[in-house]
Amino acid sequence: MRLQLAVLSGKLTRFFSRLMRLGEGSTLPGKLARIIHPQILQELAGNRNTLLVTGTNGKTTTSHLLARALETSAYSLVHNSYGANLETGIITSLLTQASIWGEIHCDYNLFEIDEATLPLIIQDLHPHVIILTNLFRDQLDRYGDLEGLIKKMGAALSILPETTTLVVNGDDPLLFSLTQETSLSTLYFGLNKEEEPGYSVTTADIHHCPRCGSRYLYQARYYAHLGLYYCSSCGNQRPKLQVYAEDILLLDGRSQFTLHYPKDVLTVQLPLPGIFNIYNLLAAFSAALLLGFSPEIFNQSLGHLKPVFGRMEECIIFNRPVRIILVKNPTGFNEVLRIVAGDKRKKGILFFLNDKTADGEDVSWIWDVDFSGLTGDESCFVSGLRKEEMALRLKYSDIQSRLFSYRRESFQEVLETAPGEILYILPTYTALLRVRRMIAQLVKKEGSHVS
Amino acid sequence: MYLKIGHLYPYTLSLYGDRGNILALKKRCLWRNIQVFVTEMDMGEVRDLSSFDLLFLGGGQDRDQVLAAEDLLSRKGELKEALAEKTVLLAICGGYQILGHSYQTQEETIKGVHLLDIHTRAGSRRLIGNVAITVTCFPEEFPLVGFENHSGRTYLGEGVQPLGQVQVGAGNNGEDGSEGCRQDTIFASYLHGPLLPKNPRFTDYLLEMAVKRRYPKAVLSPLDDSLEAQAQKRAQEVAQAKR
Repeated sequence: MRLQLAVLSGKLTRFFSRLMRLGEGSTLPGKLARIIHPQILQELAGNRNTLLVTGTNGKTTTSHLLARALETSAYSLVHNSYGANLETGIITSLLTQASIWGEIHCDYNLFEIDEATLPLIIQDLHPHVIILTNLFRDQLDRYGDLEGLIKKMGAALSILPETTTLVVNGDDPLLFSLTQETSLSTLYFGLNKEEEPGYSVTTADIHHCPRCGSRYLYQARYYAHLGLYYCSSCGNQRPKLQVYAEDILLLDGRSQFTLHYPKDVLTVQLPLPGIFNIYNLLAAFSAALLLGFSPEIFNQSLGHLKPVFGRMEECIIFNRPVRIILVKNPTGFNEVLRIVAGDKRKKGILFFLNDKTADGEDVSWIWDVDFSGLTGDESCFVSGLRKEEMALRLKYSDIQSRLFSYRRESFQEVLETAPGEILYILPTYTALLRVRRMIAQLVKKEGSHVS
Repeated sequence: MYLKIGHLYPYTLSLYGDRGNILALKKRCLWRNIQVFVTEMDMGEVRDLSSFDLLFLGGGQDRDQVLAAEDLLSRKGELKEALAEKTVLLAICGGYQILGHSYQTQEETIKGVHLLDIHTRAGSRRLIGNVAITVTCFPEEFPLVGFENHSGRTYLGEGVQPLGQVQVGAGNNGEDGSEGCRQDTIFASYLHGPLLPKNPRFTDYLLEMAVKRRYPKAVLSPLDDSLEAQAQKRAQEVAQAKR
């Protein structure tokens, strides 16, 4: 009875918060339902096969790729696809699928889950597969420090039964040290490639071998601390990869590579840009493989793939292409700048820096971003709640920028008048929500289209 | 004119945008036509400290901080010599803590370098948030803004004066209203990351001291700091609104 009451109130809250346009209604229903029935997560997640995606970057895209593969094979999912990845967001996604009796007729739970939330709710979820994408410094004002977070994650993994399988980015030495000690069966994925010529590291969060304390060396570094690492004194090294990408070609907005997995090879055309999306694909592919999916079907599911929410969405505004890419931590920002720098057209770049809780109140992180890849020919504009800090950051990389106010009229003016054949919009999380809303309003008014 | 900067443990101690501080020092020299040479020295590489006009020591995670403290302790004589020759040392957060006598956690007491008469105890709650202080260790007072994120509570001894007085935030220990410290040419603060870019007055004080080591009569030419002032003002507003 209590469960039904919780489900019903959750559903009603969602209905009204959408009706009143209070937002997507992606966390509030879960909050309310949990108050009424504290064990609701465990109850609704039930004994369904549960797949979790966690890590600093790539959670949303990875779970999206995996969802495509599952849906292509006609499986039904409970999926927190809006990226609301705290406990309340996960409960909301379950409520959405539940009948008012609290029954859910789906084959899988697929949840992306905040890395700090994982330890708090792992015992309620009985995960079948956990994907660990990567770990970078991110929002230290919220997490405290990375070391503490890793300890908590390690403790969380240690309580899992042997039926859980881990899918882990083997190129990440932090994740490797986290999973090296576990007795759970682990599938490692990664890349086999050369280091990009002239690549210099500005952010790396592990430097020493956790086993003996010597400096980690790299045969090739892909980005931040990801790469082909080894310890020269104790022999610790990147684990053997069961799934890996090779012969990688990075192209504008997409990539092409060969995907090696036990016993066979596939050629993949990935319609998403950058190395980090290759990692996302490998993560999703590895999980699909574990679940017994045919690699060919997985490959087919990439056919009509569209970027998810703010991850290189492209639209046409005032007759010009505009790309929106979320930036939220130094490593992600650096990789996004690599993509922007790779686009040789004349460009305008609009940076939005906010400092709300979801963005991180500490804006120090933008000083770890490496802007040296920009040529100086770009026209740069800055906005958001901390636009002055952003402009200052650019100034200290010898990039001039123009500040504009965080309002629709000013945004519209910049969209209309900024020079360049293409505009890149790089917002932090809460700014992304606002940017999308402002664009939606503009599109309504101007009749431009968003594709 | 030139200036030599030594960045101590840039890999072992590098959190929270420490590179922003190096960048600010570098750019503010280059904009004045002062040549800058930045040398990075990590574990086992620290040497010739007296040849540097300014040394920077950043913050790190606990484990890395212990490693750096051990390494620096082995170069202590050289560091003292450099300081006797007026080399400016700026230490932030973890770097600040290891310059003191000790860092006491519940389990153990980690030995510091004993350069500053300060000691630090681990607190139960992390002190996190925007900070605004008034700098009091120079002939004139001025505001300084930044962000703190530390669990250590640092207490100053007799021989050191605070960098400034806290207006908003916790500072050294959240109790006595002091933030950071100064002892001759050593400056230390809990305000991490991009402390120097948006506090150009403080930065220029440090730079002028460092430049004068080689060129006693040098005066730094003024720069257009209007954007710095805007960023500082905004950070101050945020600090006041949020804490």
